[in-house]
Amino acid sequence: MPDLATIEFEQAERASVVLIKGEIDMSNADRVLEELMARVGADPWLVVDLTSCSYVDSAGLSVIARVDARCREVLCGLRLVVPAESGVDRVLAMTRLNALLNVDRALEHALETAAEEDPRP
Amino acid sequence: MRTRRRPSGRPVSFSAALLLGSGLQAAVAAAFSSVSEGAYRGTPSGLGLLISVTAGLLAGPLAGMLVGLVGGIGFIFFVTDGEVGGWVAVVLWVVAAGVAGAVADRYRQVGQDRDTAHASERRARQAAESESTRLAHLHNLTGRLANAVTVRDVCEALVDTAIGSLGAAASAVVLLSADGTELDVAASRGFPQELVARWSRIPVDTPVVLGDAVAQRSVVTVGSAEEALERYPMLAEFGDGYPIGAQAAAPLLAGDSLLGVVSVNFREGRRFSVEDEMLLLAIGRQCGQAIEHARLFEAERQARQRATRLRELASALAGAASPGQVADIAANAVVSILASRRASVGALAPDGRTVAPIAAEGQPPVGQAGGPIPLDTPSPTADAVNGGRTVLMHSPDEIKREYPDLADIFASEGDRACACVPLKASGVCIGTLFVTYAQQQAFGERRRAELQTVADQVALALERSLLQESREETLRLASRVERVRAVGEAMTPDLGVEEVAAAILSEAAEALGSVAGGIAVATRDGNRLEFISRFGVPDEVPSSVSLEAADPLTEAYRSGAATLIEGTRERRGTLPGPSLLGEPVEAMLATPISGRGRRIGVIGLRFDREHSFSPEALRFVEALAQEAGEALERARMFEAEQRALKRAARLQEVTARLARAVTTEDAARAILRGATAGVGADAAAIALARDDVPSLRLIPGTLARGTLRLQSPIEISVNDRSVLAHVYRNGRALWIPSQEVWKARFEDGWASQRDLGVCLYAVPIVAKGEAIGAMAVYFKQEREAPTAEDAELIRSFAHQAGVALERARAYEVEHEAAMTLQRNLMPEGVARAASVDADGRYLPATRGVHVGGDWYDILDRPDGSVAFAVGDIAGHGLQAAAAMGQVRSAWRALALSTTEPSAILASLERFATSVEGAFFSTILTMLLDPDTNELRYATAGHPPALVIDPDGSTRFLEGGRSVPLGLPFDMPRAQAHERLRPGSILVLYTDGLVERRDESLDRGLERLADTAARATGESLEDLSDALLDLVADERHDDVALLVIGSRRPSREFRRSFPATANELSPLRADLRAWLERSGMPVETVDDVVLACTEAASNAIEHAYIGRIGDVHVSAERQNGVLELSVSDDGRWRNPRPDDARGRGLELVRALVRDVDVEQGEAGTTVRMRVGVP
Repeated sequence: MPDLATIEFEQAERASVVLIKGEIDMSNADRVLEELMARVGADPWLVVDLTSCSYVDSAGLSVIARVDARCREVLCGLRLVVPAESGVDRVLAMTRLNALLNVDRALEHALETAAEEDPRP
Repeated sequence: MRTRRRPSGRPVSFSAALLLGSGLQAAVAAAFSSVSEGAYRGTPSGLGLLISVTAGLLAGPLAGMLVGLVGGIGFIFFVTDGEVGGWVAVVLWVVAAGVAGAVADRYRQVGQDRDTAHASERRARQAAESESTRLAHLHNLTGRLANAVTVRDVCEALVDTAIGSLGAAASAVVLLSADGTELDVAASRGFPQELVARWSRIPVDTPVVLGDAVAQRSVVTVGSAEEALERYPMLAEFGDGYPIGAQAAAPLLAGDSLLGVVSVNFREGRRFSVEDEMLLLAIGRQCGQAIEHARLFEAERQARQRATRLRELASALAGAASPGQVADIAANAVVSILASRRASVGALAPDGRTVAPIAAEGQPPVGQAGGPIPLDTPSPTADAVNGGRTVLMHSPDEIKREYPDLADIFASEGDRACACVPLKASGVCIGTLFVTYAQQQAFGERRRAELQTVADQVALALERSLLQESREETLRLASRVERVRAVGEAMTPDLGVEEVAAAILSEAAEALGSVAGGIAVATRDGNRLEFISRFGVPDEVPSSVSLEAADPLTEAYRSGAATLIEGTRERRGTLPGPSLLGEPVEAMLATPISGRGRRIGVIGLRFDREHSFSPEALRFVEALAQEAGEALERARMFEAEQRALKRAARLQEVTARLARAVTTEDAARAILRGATAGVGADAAAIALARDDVPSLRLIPGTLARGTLRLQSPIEISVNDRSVLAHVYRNGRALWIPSQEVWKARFEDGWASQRDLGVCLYAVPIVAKGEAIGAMAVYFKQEREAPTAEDAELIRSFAHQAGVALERARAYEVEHEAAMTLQRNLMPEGVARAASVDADGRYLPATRGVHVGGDWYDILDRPDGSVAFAVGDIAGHGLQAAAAMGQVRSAWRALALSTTEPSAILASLERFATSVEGAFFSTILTMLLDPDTNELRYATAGHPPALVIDPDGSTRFLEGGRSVPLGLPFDMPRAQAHERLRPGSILVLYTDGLVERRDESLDRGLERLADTAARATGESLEDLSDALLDLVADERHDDVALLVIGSRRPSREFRRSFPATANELSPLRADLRAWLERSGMPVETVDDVVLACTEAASNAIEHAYIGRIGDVHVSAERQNGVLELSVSDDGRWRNPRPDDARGRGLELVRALVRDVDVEQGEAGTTVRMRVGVP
């Protein structure tokens, strides 16, 4: 069965970048969580690029929330890349998570910020 | 000291008599001096005579004579005044005194002589008596000595004799220690016990009588208590119980060697005669010899005993089963055989770095606390093992010299000498025998030989028992491996690997006591290890790890050798972070798994106690790893086999289709289909060289959801910078791994085809030795170059393509005209209609001209319904084709204007009679309302359409039958109608598909129905392909096939699926498609899909705990409202407050304002309503 989401990794200046392409729902949320958790703390920032992520529901939000909590524990910073007006953006807005998380509209912005700033506790 | 006695026994001394006598004489003279005559002179002379004679009698003649003389002188001068008579008297006195004295002396002398003789006699008698007593005692002693066997007997006999023969109060025998430094009491009598106890092991130089006797090697006597105390002040310490008086000590000599001392103590003073001393010396010598004999005898006896014990040891060791027993028996026996103080048997640890005592006799092992003795620190054990030779320490000094650190320990334990013998079996050291002695040892030849004999026996027995133990362990483990092998062999190819892995892990856990374990295999890209089975590990621990990580598992995989952690100390370097098998890690073992020579994975075991891995355990785990390797290999081979089979099947399929392919396009399609599906590519393109111009016609096709869609062909120049052009020119296959490389090398091709994928593999197409084109497959995700098998497959396709295309081209060239005609007569490409999916095919008969009278058509009517038909004009050839064309055109016109199929048929009938060649033609015409799925149809002598219901069951539509067209009958045309279920598929065909020469039509229909039923689930094109396979070989008749799938969504959407998370994505896709077709705005579509997924996720998570059930989703659009419901037949468990699912329902409520959840015994239903335009 083809994977519902593909997860790719990149290394940037002071940041681990995780690109998630596809959909995240209950069937693969655990795997996504595992992959993300494995990278928390490796660098000052963890950037999760959801640009090519076409579907996120509460299962995916739960993963994001848990990764965020873990990042805070180890003083790592979490940044999400979510294009404006995309489905993921709407879901984050509806649940008001966009106010609690660092959301960038493009990967370059996220990487710039990561290279220059330090995560706030 | 001699008492003074007067010589000759005279009662009065000379001087006394002289003085007294003279005095008396003088007195008499004085008294009688005045007397001159007669009688009175008679008195003084008589007195004078008396006095002199008395003096002579008492003090000897000389005294008497002198007294007489003195008296005489006095008499003469004072009494007689010189008268002659006076001188006569004096002479008389002197003579008388002299005579009297001499006579008296003589008399006394005789008496004295007699006395002396008597005394001598008496003494002689006494001496004879005591001599005989002594002789008797000596005799006694000799007798007792003759009976004395042990040294103790001798000593006791000696003590008794000493006391008896000398009348002593007490006696003791002390013996010298072998090294000559100490004296120890061997027997005593008459001394208080406490004192005797204090006299054990006193140094030889203690200042007592005995000491002197030893030093001087002769008899030492002390005559009295005062002398004793004076010479040996220490005796005062002995207290009142010690008879302090005269004392004598005699050495016990045997030949020249001093064996000890006998001491005799008296209460009073005593004079020791020479005989006494001689006696003591004689006794001493006799006893010395007796002791020597007794010792020899004892030594002999001990030697015999030792020999016996050695034999007993040998037989006891033969019976010992375990190393522990061997060590116990050995230690016990050694102490008694070698007369040592302590003995211990140690075994060499498997890692060869320590020796651990197995058993010890005497007391806890010497020197160390009882734990393993490291071989890198100097000690007798270490030297014995490392040097392979016996280490002998003869004395405390030597111990101090060689092992200064241990000297104190030895001294405090009281061990003066020790020996450590390495236990060697088959030339290899397997342990040590350590023996200590209470006294310094000379370790003569005999003793060394004894040590070696015992050590050899123990070594043999120990080796045997260790081997036995190891064999038993190996057998036990081997039986486990057997069990694993049985599981492996019983493994069925499609289920087994995880089962085998689990079986292996459970055997390992039982055998070795591991608390967690896992088997991981390397991923295909070779960068990670992924667990296929794991136990004892919490779920949070990641189930895969990069091979770069530092972990015993990855290390074992990388290094190809087992990695061990035998204690937490060792962990630090090997496992810095959390382990993949959970915590705590007290010990861990990881072994690589290999299959057919290459490394494929690793097996790891975690222990919660420190564990030392014996060679058997390691071999066992390796055996398990081997089983795992074989199982994995088998699974892999099976998988590979399956893949190869699939590939072969694909190849066959393509070949078959290619054989059917008529046009280049058909061929292209078939090839592309096969290539993409066969190697899992996402797109493919075929480029064919044109005859006339140096260019290639490139037809791309993309594979989406199982359907290949051809894109419009484009022309490229053979000199274009494109992969296909390049491969066509060079004739060699090429792999482009990424868009960057593609763009860099083949910019033109990249520009136009980059959407097909990110990497591609291209091969040339060759026919009859000449390149006729090229083919490429594209992948949407970066991957490694195709495996050898995949490349082979593509090349085979290319080869087939070459063949088919060549044929097609030839065909085309030859039958251009017919083809042109056919192309004009047939709908182009895929039958298209707005509201339904359709796929139409035409296959000419394999013999004869390749055009015929079979046809199909489909059209959209203005009211939204769809009309379609299939027909068969009798006959072949151009004439039939022409007639068919006319009939078809007529149908199209009628279908547009008439809603009743029967009416269409009626009108066609009239038309057909006017058309040449339309005699006895058959037709099936249908009208479908996509909204309501209502179907009306009528058939004129045509085989019945087949309906494939959404659940896959098939049935023929038998209604609406009437006779073929063009008959000279005028019969009413029947019509039937039916309401199809949404998602049904209709199959219309001509009899060429089902008729076979030697077979009934029914059989053909059955076959059709079966094939259609089996083909459900794939796209319409796949269905068509599958149906056309029925007539892949010879065709006597042409075949037209039209497959219709209802595309227009009904107002209803219904899905039921098992409650598993994997179903969510297909649900979303289907729902989205339905919603989009219903024309809902994108945002609403997203919201509804999200809400539906959340509700379905809830049902999946909560509804069925421990059993299987279905989730039902239905949606209906009516009057501007979309109603969506998600239901299950289970019983929801109450969601926890922090559940993600709780958030899910929140989200639903945020998305859809109108939500209600109905929970009941029979199930739960979530209903949502959304307004839609």
